[in-house]
Amino acid sequence: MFRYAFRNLLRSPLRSLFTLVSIITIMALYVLLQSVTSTFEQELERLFSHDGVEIIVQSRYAATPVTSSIKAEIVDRLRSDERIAALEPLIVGRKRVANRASLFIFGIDDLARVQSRLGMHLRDGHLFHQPNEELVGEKTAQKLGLKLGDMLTLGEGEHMRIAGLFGSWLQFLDAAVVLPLAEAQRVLGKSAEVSLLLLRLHQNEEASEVMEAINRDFPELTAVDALSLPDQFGAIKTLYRFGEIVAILTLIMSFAVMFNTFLLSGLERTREAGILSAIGWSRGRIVMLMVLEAAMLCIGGAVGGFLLAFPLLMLLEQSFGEVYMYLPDAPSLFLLWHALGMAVVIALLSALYPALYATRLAVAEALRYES
Amino acid sequence: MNREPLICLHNVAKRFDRGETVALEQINLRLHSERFYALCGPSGCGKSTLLHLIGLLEWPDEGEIFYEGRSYRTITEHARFRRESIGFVFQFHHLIPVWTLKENMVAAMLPECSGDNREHRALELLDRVGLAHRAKALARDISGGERQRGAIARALVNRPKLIIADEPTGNVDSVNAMRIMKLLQGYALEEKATLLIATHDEGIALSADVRIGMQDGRIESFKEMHDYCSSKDQ
Repeated sequence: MFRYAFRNLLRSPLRSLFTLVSIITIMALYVLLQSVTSTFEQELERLFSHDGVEIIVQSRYAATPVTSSIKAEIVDRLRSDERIAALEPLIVGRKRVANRASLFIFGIDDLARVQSRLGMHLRDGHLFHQPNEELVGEKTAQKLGLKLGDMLTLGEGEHMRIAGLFGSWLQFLDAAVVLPLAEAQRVLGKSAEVSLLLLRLHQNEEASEVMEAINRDFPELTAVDALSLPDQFGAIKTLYRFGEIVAILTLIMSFAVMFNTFLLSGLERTREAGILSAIGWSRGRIVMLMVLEAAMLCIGGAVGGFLLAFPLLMLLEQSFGEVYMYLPDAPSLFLLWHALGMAVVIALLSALYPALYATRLAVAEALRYES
Repeated sequence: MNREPLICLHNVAKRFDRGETVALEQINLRLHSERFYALCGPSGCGKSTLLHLIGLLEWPDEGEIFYEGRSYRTITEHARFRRESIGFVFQFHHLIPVWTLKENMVAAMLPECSGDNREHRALELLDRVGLAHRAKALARDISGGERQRGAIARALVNRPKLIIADEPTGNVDSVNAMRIMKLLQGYALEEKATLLIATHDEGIALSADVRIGMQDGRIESFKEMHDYCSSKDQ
């Protein structure tokens, strides 16, 4: 069956080639855009699904963690709540690096405590000991050509010495700079505020009660379950919706390309369907042959698109010329399965009707059919 | 000839254009095993339609057709029945042009056959029709005579009891026509198959056991060729 399907695709080699190229292009675009959104989504999930953090507190109307602002006195009030076992403040912001891109700055109060949660491991150097020391993610170091002991100037004149180079399992952390909380507040000009609070409770069962209390007592804040944090930020939600829209558009575009090709092919192949039927092929088998042809094109397109995404990601990274936090080095394998799944759906949707159309006539009528 | 006929048509009629064009009317016919029937008549008299009905490529509007006593109406898997019981040779070969000759053969074979058996059988038949050396050639790349011989080989792959050929020599030169008829008759004799051929060629009709004459959608004559030749001589 595969051999026959392959031969049939060679019937109009140019048509098959252009269809394949279209599918590869669409799939590459899909993999590329999904790489950005899904990597970000996965990393957030990984970050907040870690043992221990049950509740995240942020500004009620913040679009992103960068725009979230929680005053120091609120942090102190929350610390006094006996149900809270640990409270970890975190500040996030951006700073430009001398004529280069802006970098994400993470300010963390007790790095040793959260280090394992972030999957951070020092490649070189040590954790910060002095106020003007910083840790630099390996992606940032690679991009900016930095090494241990170098000075990195953040914004206007904040000279920081690189105390350590780290790697983590978070792309955006690798592409960032980590400072002690107080240093980060100073550098970002937010001396009496933090962006997020990560709360761990003595008893997990009290989570909803604590969230309710915070939401009631602090109207300017929102306390949410850690896993639902991404849904609270408008910008992140937009990013997710963007990913979904891209997936739907990919499906529609691929379907349109394939349907056009196979409808034309179905019209032309009514007589061929008659011949196959006359020599003993059942209608189901003929339909399967045509769907298989579509599946071969779509699966070829999905694999081709996935492979094409590798050089495209490299090109994008180079063309940005800066540290871009959501851009992964390579598309994840899960996107290949996703693209293959979509390919099968598209093949079925686009080839089924033309195949049924081509096999609709009685055998003798199909043999007389003039396309 | 009292034994059960291979094919029996009882009051068969077929109309086209929503009943306005009568293709066949009141067809009653019995075809016996191991015989060669030539279906003759002018163009448009209904020969091809009759072959299509017998080959289960089309349904009659009236009447009934039986294969070894079994009504076509009781056959549920038409494609399977065609594959197992009938070998059809068309006037225009109807090979799939983008498949090789061997692939065209194998595609027509029973799915129960193993891959090796299929290949072997395909090559055996291609050898028999003198096309073994063209087995890997695409059907679109070979000559008209070769295509028609390929189509005959395809019709025979499943050792059908009934071979139906619709003007098999209509589009080939006289040398190829003679070769094709030799192949069909030789195979039918060897495999004890029934041969039903629609033809305009009186030479082919003369070599048949029975000549069935058609006119305006009706069977006009049914003559054992021995009698026919005698009456012509007189």
